[in-house]
Amino acid sequence: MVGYGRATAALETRSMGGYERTPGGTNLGQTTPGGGAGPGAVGKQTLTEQVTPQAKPDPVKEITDLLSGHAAGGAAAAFDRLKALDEAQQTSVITHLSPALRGKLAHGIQKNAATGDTAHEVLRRCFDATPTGEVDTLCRWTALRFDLAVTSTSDSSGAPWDKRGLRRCWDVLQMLPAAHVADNKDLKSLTRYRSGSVEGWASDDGEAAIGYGSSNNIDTLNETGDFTDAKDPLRGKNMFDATVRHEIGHRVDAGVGGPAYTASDNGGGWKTWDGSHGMAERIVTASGGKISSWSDATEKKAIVACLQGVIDDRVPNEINTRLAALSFVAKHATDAAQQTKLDDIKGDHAVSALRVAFSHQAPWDLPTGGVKLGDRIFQESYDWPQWVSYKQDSRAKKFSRYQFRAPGEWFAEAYATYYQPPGDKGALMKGLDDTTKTWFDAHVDPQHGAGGTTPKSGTKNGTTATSGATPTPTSGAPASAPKGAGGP
Amino acid sequence: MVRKRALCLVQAALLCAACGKGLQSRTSEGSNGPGTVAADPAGPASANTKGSTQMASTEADIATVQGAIAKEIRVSPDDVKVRPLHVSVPGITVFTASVHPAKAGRGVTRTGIVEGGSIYVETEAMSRVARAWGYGARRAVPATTVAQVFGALHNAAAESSPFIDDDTVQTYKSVSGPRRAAAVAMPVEATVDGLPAVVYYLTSSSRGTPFSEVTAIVHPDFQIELRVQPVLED
Repeated sequence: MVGYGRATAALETRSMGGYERTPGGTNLGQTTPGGGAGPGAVGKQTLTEQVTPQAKPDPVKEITDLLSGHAAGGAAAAFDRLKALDEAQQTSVITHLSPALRGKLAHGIQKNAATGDTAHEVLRRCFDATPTGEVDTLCRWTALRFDLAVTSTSDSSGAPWDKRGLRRCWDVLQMLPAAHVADNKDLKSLTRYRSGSVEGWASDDGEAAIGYGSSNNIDTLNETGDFTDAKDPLRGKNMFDATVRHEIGHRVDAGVGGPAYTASDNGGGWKTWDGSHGMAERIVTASGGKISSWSDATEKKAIVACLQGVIDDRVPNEINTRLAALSFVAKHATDAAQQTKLDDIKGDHAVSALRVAFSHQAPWDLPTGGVKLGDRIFQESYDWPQWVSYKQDSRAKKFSRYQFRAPGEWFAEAYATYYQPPGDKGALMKGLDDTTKTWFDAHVDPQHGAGGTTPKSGTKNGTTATSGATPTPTSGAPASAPKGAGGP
Repeated sequence: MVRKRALCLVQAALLCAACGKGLQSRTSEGSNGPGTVAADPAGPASANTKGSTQMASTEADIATVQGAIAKEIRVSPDDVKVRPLHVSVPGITVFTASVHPAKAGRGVTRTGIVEGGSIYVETEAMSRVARAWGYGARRAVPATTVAQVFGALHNAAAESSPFIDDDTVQTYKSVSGPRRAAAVAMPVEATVDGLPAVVYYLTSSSRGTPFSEVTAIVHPDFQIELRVQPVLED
């Protein structure tokens, strides 16, 4: 009898002496209940055959028995048994289990029993062999692999995962460092919500949510210009995969010092204000235009207050009417001097900047980012509101346009770019933003840039990946596609 | 990420945020049939003529939105900031609502209308607005007003902004790429397949809605058909 590695003592006591682990595996579809000869064996038998009947191993039955029993630890024992089988047998066993027993196995395994490269490989085979309709079980395999809750989002937009989305998530997550996924205390759940497009969000309480709909072909949907310019590194990359990396990036950001880097000139020189208080004054000052040097202090105060009102109320379309209502220009239609004043106000770049600076106007999507004030772009990044400014010239080394929505988006897009397969980590940053690549190597990636973006078979979150490994595309790949791929 | 749906129950209404673009809108129970709601012939200019009744209604509608979103994302109603759109639509409050991430863990945005205590979103909401205006062959309100409301309702889970101010159009031209600069313009009335329509341009905070040309076609039963054409620079 050939030993089979990691079988536990408990397993051996249940295995009736085990079975031969032969190349190519056992044909699990041909069971022989009770052992002995199968159908057609009636007739002459030797004495020896009668005395020493060989119980043909039946892993399906054994694992079914383990899972069907009421004893505690049945699932753990079954998983240990499963790990001892060869790859084909593992797949066959999972395939032959009933849906209920597959679910019982998945839910009965504890996380601490599902660690290590071997367990991770088995989990993936379990996932691949689980039918598409068993979503709960598929989520559980994924949860075990990455130590995350894998569910729908908790709000009303929540939607059940499906196998295609989980498979792509798996392929993406396994090539990220374990420190960013399974071992990341800032990442607790991977959730799905219903959406007509591929998108996502991440929350401060550790949720990374992915949105997509049934009409989105996530295996072939590449970025074609919604968020990138033609030369941006993320152009042409798989949208779903990049979105998953992006949302994970949000949950990595704070833990690796992202906020400090994005505040530095190399990271865009971002400044952030939670709320809109004082933004008009800052914008007027940054503009250095006629408003900032307005000779009448009372009028200047009124102008700034007017612009602050536009900012607070978030109504760029009302700039003209509100400015025109200022008392000292209210008669501009008939008073040339007042018209001149009004023209001076409206001609200030601070006013022009405000016209296109609000989050619902997506100023980050503009090639310029908006109207530059000094060397900076000021914009409302989110509607709650959050205001930011950044150095406009940093757009010259952008990875996507969306990167310039907010410092957190800057980091998340950089993260998605850094871990974009194939090839070396940060390969897409080289020559475009070497400083940021170097910073990611030093501060973000636990392997300091080594290891490449494609884990070889048997690795845990890419920790032993081979640098520059050739990726295996998985676009449209079947359920049994080899792990370690996932690039567009 | 555009979503559409209409629901009767307030707490269920914001489920609409989960629906994918292209899903068929559902009609609310008790919804008014075409023409049963009188249009305000004065259009937006009558916004200040409704007095305290209108104000009370708006306040109630705001409370409705706060309650629905609070229940949806499990925050206090006070955490939901609701901004009514200052456009007159008889019997309807058009809103944008947001929740600070400090309260919800993430930023949450919702847009829609409140009519009769129920929340509607996207094309269903637009349809109800069109019916309230009596918008059709008789262009009851200017194209700019149609764009202002329809643009705001474009996406139930993200703010969108139509171009309705010429200075903003000109500024946008000066800072955008050549294709968008050439395209962007003020809203205009149009006729599509013999039906009244309005063509306008919008931007959105949603990653899934780039700068786009939108043609909103108003069918005789006030159903709204949107034809959205993103304008990309390459």
